[in-house]
Amino acid sequence: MNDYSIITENLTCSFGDLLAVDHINLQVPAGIVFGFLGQNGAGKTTTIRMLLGLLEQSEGEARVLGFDIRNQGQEIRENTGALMEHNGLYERMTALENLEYFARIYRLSQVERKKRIEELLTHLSLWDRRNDFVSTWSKGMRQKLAVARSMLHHPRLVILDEPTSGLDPLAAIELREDLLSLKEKEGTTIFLNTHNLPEAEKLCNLVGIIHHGRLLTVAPPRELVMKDTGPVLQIVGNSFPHELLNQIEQHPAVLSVELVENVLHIRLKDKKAANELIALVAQSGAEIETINHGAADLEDVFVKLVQGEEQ
Amino acid sequence: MITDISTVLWREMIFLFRGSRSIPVLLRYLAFTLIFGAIIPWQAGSAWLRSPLPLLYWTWFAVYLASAATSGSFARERELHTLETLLATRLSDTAILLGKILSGVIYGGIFVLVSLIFGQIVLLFKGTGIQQYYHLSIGLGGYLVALLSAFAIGTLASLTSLKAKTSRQAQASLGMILLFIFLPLVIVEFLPGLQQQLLAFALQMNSNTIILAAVLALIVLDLPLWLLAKNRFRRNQLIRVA
Repeated sequence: MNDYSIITENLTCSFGDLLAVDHINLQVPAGIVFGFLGQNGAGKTTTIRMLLGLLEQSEGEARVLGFDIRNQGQEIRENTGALMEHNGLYERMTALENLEYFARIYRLSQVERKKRIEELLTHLSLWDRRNDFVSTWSKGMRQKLAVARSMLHHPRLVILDEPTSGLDPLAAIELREDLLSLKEKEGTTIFLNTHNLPEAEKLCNLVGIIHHGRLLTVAPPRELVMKDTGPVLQIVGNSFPHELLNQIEQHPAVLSVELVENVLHIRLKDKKAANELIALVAQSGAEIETINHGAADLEDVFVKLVQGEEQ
Repeated sequence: MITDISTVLWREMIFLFRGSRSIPVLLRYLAFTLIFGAIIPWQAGSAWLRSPLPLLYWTWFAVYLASAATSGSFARERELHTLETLLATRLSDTAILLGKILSGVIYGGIFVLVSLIFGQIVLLFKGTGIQQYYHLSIGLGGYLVALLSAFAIGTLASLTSLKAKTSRQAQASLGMILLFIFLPLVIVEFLPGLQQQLLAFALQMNSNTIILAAVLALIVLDLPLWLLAKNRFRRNQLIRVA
């Protein structure tokens, strides 16, 4: 039991007729970064609210750090750090006061508070601005501060809801690196809610994909990519004849074909067939601009799973 | 528990004394303190030390400040998007709720204490004959009545704030409730006969009796109000409103 930070069994939450989370079965091993992927409104935030004991489940069971979410919410929150949908920082307080408040909430002694706040702010390169009101900070700095706040009391589990949402690419990369280094340093389990698939691919040891409240799959990102898809051929061009798509689809080495705007996405069972398919496209009269070979990424897997579910 | 309550109090006090509109608001309250804590006692002279008159003023001032401080407590956190983070901490329901209510009580209590001390200094300076100090029952009892009244209003204000989406909405709801509560007093104003009877009844009692009755009545009022607020404080409901 202790090897898992989170275990859910048929965890379900409904609001009237709306089934927000639908019988989710999940096991998150301790010490990893788990990515919970899904579109907006897929049920990610509802799931973490249930895991933190903030929302009552309609059906099913779940244990977080060994505690039952139904009646041990307080114990869960005691041992967990959370960055919710909004960063939850008090803008009329300085960074130091924000962290001081939460350190007091988690009953760190005065000496511990001072040491821990300095350690985290220094690690995240925020120490020099510690006495500034948070309202004067950039969004990236605020998110970093919110991450620091969630790690203050050395929690065994940190739940982060879209931590890089709304950040510019550089700030997002920086925050990801900070998250990873904090995780390595502290050995904390991180449960990451995100719809940013490249981020999940880079950060997570294990991902779960949720769609319309249903958990579609759980696997390490690389395994998911290798298992569910194969090599990918992308042909950018114009005037792809309609019958060409049928021809490609019927080819024995092709898993799927899709034309999105002016890009032909072909998923292959075997990359050896790529040249043959390129020749087929060239002969069809289509104007080819560029050709990209590569492996599928998590985004392809996600799209495939979600489309499969919709069908 | 006391540590947790004081933690919530600490943050609420920072907000009250450093909010976006805190300086003009504080100046207004200081003006009230000066008027009711110095000018009126100076004019009233020794009667201020003997009569239950300051009791009315202290109670009104504490109630006014407590309602202003707590009416937006939860709604404000909801508006600032800090409520969910607060609810996701280890703090118990009681610590959060009591911390917020007591912040209003203490905020009101500070200003009332200052005006009480002001009044005493002013009258000592003026010289009021034999009696130079408040009667213990009026000083301490009156202050206790003010604090208990502030607790009742603070609890009511928190109750309205729990479900309000914005602090403005919470203040409007509280305004309606207060209007309903104080409506009998307004009605009495228009019924001179009843007013005379009540006044005669009040004059028959001494200050100590009035204060004791007020303390007991307020304890009886505060307890169910607190239990109601605690019962209404549901994290899942608060999240859903958010």
